Amino acid sequence: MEDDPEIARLIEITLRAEKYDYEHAVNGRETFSLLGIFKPELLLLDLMLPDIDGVDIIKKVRKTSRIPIIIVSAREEDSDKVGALDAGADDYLVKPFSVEELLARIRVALRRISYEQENEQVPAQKYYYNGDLLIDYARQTVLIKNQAVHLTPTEYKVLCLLAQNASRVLTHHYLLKKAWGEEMFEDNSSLRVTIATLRKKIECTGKFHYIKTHIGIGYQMLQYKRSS
Amino acid sequence: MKSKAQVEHYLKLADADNDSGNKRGKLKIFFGYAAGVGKTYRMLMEAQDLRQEGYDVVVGYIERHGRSATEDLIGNLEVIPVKTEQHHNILLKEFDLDAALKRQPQIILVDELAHTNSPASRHEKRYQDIQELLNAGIDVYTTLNVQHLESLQNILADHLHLNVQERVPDYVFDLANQLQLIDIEPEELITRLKKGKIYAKQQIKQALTNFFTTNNLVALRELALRKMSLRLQTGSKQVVERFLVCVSGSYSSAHVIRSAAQLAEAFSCELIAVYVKEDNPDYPKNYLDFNLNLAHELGAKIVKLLGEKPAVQIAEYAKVSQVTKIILGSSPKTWLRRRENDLVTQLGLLLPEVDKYIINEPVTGSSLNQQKIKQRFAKLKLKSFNQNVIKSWIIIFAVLIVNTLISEILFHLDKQLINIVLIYILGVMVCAILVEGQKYGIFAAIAAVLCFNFFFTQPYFSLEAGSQYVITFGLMLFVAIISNSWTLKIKKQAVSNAQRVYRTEALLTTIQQLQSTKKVAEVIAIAAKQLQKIYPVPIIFYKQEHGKLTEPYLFALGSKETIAAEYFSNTEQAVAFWTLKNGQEAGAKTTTLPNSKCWYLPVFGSTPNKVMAVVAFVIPNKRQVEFFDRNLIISILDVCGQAFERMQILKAKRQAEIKAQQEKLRTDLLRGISHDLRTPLTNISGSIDVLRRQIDLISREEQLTLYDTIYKDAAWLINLVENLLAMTHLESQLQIKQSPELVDEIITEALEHLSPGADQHTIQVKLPDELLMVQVDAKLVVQVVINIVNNAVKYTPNGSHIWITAFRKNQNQVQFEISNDGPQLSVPELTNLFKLFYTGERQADLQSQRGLGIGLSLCKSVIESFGGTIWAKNLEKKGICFYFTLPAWGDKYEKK
Repeated sequence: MEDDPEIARLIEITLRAEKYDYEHAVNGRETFSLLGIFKPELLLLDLMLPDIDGVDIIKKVRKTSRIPIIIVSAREEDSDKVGALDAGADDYLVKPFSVEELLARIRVALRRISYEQENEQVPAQKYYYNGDLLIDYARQTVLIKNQAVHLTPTEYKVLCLLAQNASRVLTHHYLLKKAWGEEMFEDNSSLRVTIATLRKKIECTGKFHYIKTHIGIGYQMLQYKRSS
Repeated sequence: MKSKAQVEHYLKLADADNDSGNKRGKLKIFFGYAAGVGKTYRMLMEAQDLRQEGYDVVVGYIERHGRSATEDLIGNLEVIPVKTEQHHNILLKEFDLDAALKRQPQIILVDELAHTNSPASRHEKRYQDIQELLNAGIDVYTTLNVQHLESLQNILADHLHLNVQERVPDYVFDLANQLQLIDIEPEELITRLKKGKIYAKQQIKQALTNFFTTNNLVALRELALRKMSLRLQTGSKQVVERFLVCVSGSYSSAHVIRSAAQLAEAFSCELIAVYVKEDNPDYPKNYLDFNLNLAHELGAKIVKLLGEKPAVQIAEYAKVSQVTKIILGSSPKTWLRRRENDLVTQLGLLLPEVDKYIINEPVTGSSLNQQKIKQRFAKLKLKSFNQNVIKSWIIIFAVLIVNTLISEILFHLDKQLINIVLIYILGVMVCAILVEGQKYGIFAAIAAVLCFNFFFTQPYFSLEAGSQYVITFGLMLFVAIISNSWTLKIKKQAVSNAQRVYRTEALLTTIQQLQSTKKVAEVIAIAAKQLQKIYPVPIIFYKQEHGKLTEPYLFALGSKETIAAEYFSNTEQAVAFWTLKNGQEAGAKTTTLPNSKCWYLPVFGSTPNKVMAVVAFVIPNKRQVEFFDRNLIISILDVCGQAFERMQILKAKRQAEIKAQQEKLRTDLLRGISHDLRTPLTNISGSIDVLRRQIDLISREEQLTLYDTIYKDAAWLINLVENLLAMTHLESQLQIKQSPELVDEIITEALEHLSPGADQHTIQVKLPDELLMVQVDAKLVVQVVINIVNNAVKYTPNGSHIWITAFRKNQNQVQFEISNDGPQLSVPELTNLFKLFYTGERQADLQSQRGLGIGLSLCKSVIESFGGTIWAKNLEKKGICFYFTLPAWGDKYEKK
């Protein structure tokens, strides 16, 4: 979904080259009808649309579907991105972006879908696999290469949040609200410290970088293939 | 016809108003000689006419006196409801000034200019209310009877035996832009009174016998007509002559001042009231203040001279200020003082060219007014009197006893009487120094002679003395008295000199100190200190800013003292605000809002009516301020106001400079950008053009080079846009948002956004194990790191190393270091590195090294906006290192 024809064409060419199936909608109404007919696996959405506000579309889509949504926007302000992410978008791209970046984001988002399909038999409430990371929800333990890692309750909470929303960019606001509760609303520093220590503990092998930082926005759990 | 003419006149006034841009309202007085001549009636008639013409006319206050005609005339005019107040079981109706100011009509009618307001009102007198209305730009119509004029009080008292309590200063009368005399024959007035058209029936009889006698009415009418004709004469005021009236501290001086004011008005000339300061203990000082106030109210300029010889001082002043006539009071003096103090004779000798008018001061005139003043001040006098008297007597007796004892010793040693005489004379002089007042001196002299007689002349211990001592006694008394009076005089002069020096010095130091100050708070502190030297009371300063008052600056007397909050409570600040708006003094000791706890004075800038600040003097015990002190205080405040204004001008100038600088920067930036955009854009469009048209003619390798160029130039443009965005971000935000950010994350993020070509370099990051957190806007710092690293990529050959490290420098700072092993910079390059548009000197020879030079200057702005510093140095062997510091985030989390 993109209203600028030039950028739309660039994206189309890229997608075609990478052999993705795609449909292109030019406004909000068309987006909805195409979502119904085409049933895509991923939605690329421009926040600035002629008819409906992009954030409203996200909200509407999220009511019925878990389909990954990647925002493409020329808006520079962090608040716009945060607003879209909090409304349910998975990731964002700011113009000007490189084609490489676009494809990387698409891959990340689709990996979640494939993870969910792969692990359909694994009850989502019980285990989470990512690279050499394993979360055993029932026992509340975290294993790296089958070695238990000791986490503080907050670190565990944050890790679970990221894992359950793997590939999604979670805003600082969202993480703080979910892991600390409303009263810690603006204490960004504790979140930073928690992420830093958490990262040290789970990225100790140096093979996988699970948690990606989005400066001024939030954090994202990158999904890797399950190793062994 | 008539009303039309008036309207035209009004329109003319309104036009004049617009032209000058002056917003002050116009005052019109309907002037009559007694109640019932029809002033209110005429005023209402005119109001109705104006309303018809479409003016916004409102009735502020009309004294109805139960006259139905008045009620009818008010008719459909809008009436501001009166304020009612309970005062000692009487319900007082008062004009509601605040409601009127809020309503802000074009014209307001307020009856009875001379009215005295109820004690709870803001102003003591209604004419002050009216002045405030005029200040607010509202035109005021009011009424006034001639007997209320201050300058006519002596005539009224002397000839008609009328004592009028409600008085209006003449300057208020002179404020009138229009004056309309309402006149009817006295007989007709009496007829109207008898018919009950003026007062209620029960009052008619009393009025007829007391005030409304034909004699009184004729005299009052004459006064009113005279006043009116005088005003017509002086309508075009051109001062040709200058009168000088000598004011003394005697109560009869008031009479002289009034006469002088009348004369001055009749001759339409300026009046100067001169007082020669000479502490005359015979008069209580308060008479003097009363007289000076009176002179001020009658429109005279007050001048205070210092010196022993009044005649010389006055003569000199008169010569300097080109006085044409001198008005003096003269009263029969006691024979002793006549020669010495005869000002008239002395001035006659000193100033033969100036005319002198002698006004007889009524010595025995015990008019009601004088009695009142006497009563008012008798109490005050008595209080201080008792204490001083007792102290003085004790001193005199103590001195005499000591004298006698010393004399006794001397007498036993050598029997020389002459020494004893000298010791007593010395004692008398000591008394003169220690005790105030001549009468004590004379007493001490006589007592000394008696003691000498009693103790040291034969027969001893008796007042009898041989005839050979008579001359000794006489001479001794004479010498004692003369030396006593001279000592007194010298002492007085010394005191007055000291005071004068002190005061002049106070003013001078203020000026000197204020000239070297640069801050408003300093000006206020200096002014307060100097003011307290003159008038030692706690002072509260309010500075004006954008038409409002700032928080009070408090100056208690000692450093340990504090000022109670009640002196700058909301009500007190409201008074200060009133002073600010009206540019007039208010509060305690004045007639405006006299119930306040402080005395408020406005501080003017060089343009009048522009109040820069308000000063409040905390006067708990209603102390009086001497007129001279007052003038000095006002002088200091003037200097202070000028200092404020100077600062304001400086500030405006500085702001204009900054603005001009910003403008210049903006144009430079625009020019720079458009110039620098051209190269990459030409490159991109050119390459694409070639690829589009001649793709078959160029080899695959050449194609790839072209693609590469396009990609690099586009990346360069993107980075430029990022920098520009960061720059606007920095400029548009007054308060940069800051939050705790991990250094680790900042550097990682930055490395993800490097320009193409960075992969040709080896970039190494080394961070300590400790979690480094900085209090910044992460995006801006990321941009700083990107710029510095990109810079290093650009200016170092491929394959060079770039090292990034950060560490905690101290409790409050984190230092970043980004170094490379590329070529070094020259000294001018190092110093100019962070300047806008500086791109180094070798730019010309390396095509790839073009750049706006905004990158590093942006870095500097960003780092400095967080309170950090940025600098660069050549490393020892090769390479350059960039350093910058950022505020470390307070480690409250780690402590937990």
